[in-house]
Amino acid sequence: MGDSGSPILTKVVLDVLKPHKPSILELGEVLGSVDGVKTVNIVIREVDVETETIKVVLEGSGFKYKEIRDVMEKFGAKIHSVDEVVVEKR
Amino acid sequence: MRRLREVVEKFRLYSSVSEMGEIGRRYFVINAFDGAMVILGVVLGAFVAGARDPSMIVSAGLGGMLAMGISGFAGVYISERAERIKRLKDLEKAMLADLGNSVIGDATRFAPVALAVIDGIAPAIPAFVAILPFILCLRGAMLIEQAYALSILLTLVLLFLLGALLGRLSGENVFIYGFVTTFVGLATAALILGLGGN
Repeated sequence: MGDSGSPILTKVVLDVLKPHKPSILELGEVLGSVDGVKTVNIVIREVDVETETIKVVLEGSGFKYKEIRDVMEKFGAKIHSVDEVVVEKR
Repeated sequence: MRRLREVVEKFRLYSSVSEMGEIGRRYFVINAFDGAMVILGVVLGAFVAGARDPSMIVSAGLGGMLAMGISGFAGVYISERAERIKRLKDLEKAMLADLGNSVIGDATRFAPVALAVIDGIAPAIPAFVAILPFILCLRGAMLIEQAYALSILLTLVLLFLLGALLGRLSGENVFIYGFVTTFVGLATAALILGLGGN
C-alpha cells in the first residue's frame, strides 16, 4: 500500500530572473515561510545592470508550486523555467 | 502585536527595496538645517528690528515652520515620485514584466510619501525649539531679552547637533562637523546683525 498515497512535491529547481532588490536574502526568507518548504537554496548565476538570474532550489514536503510562483511574482521575480521536480508519494 | 510586527516588516522591506535609508537621512539633515537657519534669520531679524512683542515672533515662526513643512513635503513628494516611477519603468523594461503589483511597485508608491513626511517634519523640529522661548515669554515665564538669548543659543546647539550627526554618520570627527555647522550659523548671525546695524 506504500505507493497508493497522493503525490506531493518535495523538490523543485527553478531558473529565475529578478531585479537586484529585494535581495536574495529577503526572497529566501519569504520562500522559507511558505507552507511545506523546509530548505531554500538560492545561487546567483548571472548579474546584469538591472537584473540578476538566480537558481532557486526548494526542498520540503508537499509545498504548492502556485504559492511559490505567487511569492516570486509578488517579489517582482519571473520564473523562466522549472529545471527539476521531485514528487513523492506519501 | 503580530499585526504591528507585520507592518514594521513591510516598512523595512519597502525601505530596503526603495533604498530610501540614505536619502531619507540626507533629506532630514538638509531640511532640519534649513529650518534652523531660517528660524535663526527670523529671530535675529526681529531682534534687529527691535521687536519686543513675543506673539509676533511666535506667529512669524509658526508661519515659516508651516510653509517650510509644506514646501518640503510637496517638493520631495513630486520629485521623488517622478524619479521612482521612471526607475520602475526602466526596471519593467529590463524584466519585460509589469511590476506594479509587486513589492517593487508598492515600494515605488511608499517611498515618496515616507520621504516627503521626513522632509516636511525635519524643519519643524528646530523651528519649534527656537520658538519655544517666545512661547514661554508669552506666558510670562521669561523676559523678551532672555527669550532672544535662549532661542539663539538653542538654535546654535541644534546646528551643532546636526553637524555632529553628520560627523557620526561619516565616521569622522564629530566635533569638527559640529563646529562647522555652528560656524555657519554664527557667520549668518553676524551678517544679519551687521546689516541690521547699518
